[in-house]
Amino acid sequence: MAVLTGCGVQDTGPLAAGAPARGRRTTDGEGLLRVYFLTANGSWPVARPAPDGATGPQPALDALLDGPTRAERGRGLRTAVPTGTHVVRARASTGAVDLYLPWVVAELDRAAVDQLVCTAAAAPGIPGGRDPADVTVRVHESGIAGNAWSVRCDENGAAAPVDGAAAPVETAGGAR
Amino acid sequence: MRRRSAENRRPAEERRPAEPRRPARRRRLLAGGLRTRLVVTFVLVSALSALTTAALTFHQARTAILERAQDNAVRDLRAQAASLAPDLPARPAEADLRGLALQLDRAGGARDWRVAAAYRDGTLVTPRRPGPDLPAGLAHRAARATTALVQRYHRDGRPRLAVAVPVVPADHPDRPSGLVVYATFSLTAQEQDVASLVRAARAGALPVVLAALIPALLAARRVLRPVRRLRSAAESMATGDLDTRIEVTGRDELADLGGAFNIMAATLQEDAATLRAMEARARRFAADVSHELRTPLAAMTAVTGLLDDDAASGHLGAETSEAITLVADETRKLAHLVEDLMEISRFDAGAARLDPDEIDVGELLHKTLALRHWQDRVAVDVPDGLRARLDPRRIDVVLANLTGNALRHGGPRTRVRLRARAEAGRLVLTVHDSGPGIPDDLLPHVFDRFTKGDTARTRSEGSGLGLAIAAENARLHGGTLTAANSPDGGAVFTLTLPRDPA
Repeated sequence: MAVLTGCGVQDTGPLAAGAPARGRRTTDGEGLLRVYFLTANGSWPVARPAPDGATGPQPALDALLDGPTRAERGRGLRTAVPTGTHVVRARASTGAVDLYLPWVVAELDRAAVDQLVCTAAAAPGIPGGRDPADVTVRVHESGIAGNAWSVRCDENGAAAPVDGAAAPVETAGGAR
Repeated sequence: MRRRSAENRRPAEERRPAEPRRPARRRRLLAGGLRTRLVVTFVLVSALSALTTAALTFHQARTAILERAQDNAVRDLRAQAASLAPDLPARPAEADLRGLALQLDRAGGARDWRVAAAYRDGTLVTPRRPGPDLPAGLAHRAARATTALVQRYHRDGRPRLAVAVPVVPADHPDRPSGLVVYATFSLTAQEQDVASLVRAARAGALPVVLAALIPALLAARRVLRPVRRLRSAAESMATGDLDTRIEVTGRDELADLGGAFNIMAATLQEDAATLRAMEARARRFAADVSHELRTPLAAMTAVTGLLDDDAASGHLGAETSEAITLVADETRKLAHLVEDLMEISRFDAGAARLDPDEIDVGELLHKTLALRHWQDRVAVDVPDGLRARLDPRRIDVVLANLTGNALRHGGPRTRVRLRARAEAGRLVLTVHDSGPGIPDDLLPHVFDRFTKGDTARTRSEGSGLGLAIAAENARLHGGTLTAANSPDGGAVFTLTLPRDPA
């Protein structure tokens, strides 16, 4: 009995435990779009090759509205942005992107807002060369005049208001 | 006892084992010892097998519990890393790693693992504090590994598991890329499962060992029963019951032993019967011979007596008279020898009868000496009025034999002392001479038949049976006769008799 009671969980050294994870990217192409889709655990930037010659946030937003590819769906990615014939227009300025939505933010899923804001902020070719987290995204809602809503994409891939700027209206609930 | 025939009956003391108490005590010890050993062995064996089974089961179960936790964690982490890694740049920045770690952190679910991601030997990037407390050396090894690694370790006395999954390029799975994701989580739940296994094993094994006592006792009883039978049979044989046999049942080794015992008993019984028959025949022969010799000897004695008288009268020639004297002497000796032989035969046949009478010992001694004209050569030391219940004829024979022996062997100027004392309910008679004593090598055989005191000496006058007859007479009285050498020189014969034989 004494032998048995002595047997709890014992320490080990590092032991091999099966195959590694495959799928690492080995080439780092310059023109790489970061399109934010959703995993079960929040928004996640998917790497997409950029169309030739295109700069600025518009190609990335177009890709976002097209939704995840079949392969990306296979990896569990999905989108909360309404699909259809809508067009989101974006215009980059120094350290900022103006985002013109064909919807009212309040109608959108919270996760969809995160996707839109972060995709716009992470797009290559924004003048000023700031980190995506420091890029201010000014969200213009459809049919609402007045000041735009200034947000940033925080490190968790979520839209966060720039200091002092209040959310225009309650959004339609969390995606997570 | 019932097989003992009349011709070799002996006093009971001779047949009984020297210490009748001892076998009984040893029997109890032996039975207890064997049973204890059997039971202990049985219980030990069952305890050992129960323990071994429990230990093996426990070991397997513990391994299964830990391996499942570990395999699940590795699989989840690997799946997450594989699904997210294609989106990371080839040289991920800290923000990329943080995003990855955040995704992994949320994928842990109920495990509540702490994750980190690292590129090459860079710092671990964690989505929240505290980060994973990796065991020493794991990160260094994982950065160069091409397989997933796991390591169990203890932190603050609690078991934890660290998992490291390196991410390799899809097209070069054997080349480490430097990107590694880590997760550590607590194994406390698994440890509790293991502890409950130990409890279950203990709860199962102890009653099994205790329950093993019952079949152990039964088995010991079964094994020991024939042993006990064998022992009591051997004991009954030791007391002379040679027709003891064992009932043999079964076909095991103990049954074989019982069979062998029975064969031994039968052989012993046969041999003993044969020996007794031979001995009886020999004794009967001696008795018959002496009986047959008596009648012609009586006639010869009468005739030689007459011739002896003639020789003494001087009418015959010197040579003739010497021859006649020699023949008369030898005839007398022969008659004496035959008388002694017949006496001994009566003892052997168990026909000797004790005829006790209340007598005065001093009177008996004086009468014995006077009858043989030894009064002047023997000093008598007897307290007045010493009385005992004896067979006077037999004690007279004993004393005459002892005194005659002393006078013969002590030498021409020997002094013989006869002494009688009452000591503690016994009558002790000693015959002490001042002769050379008895040689040491002869001492144990003094009372054997036809033992001659001194081979160098001319033929002794005794028949060679005198001391043997004396010893038999002493035994018939329930007493003893012993011979020894006195420290002052000379031989001492001591006759010890109960004063009132039963």
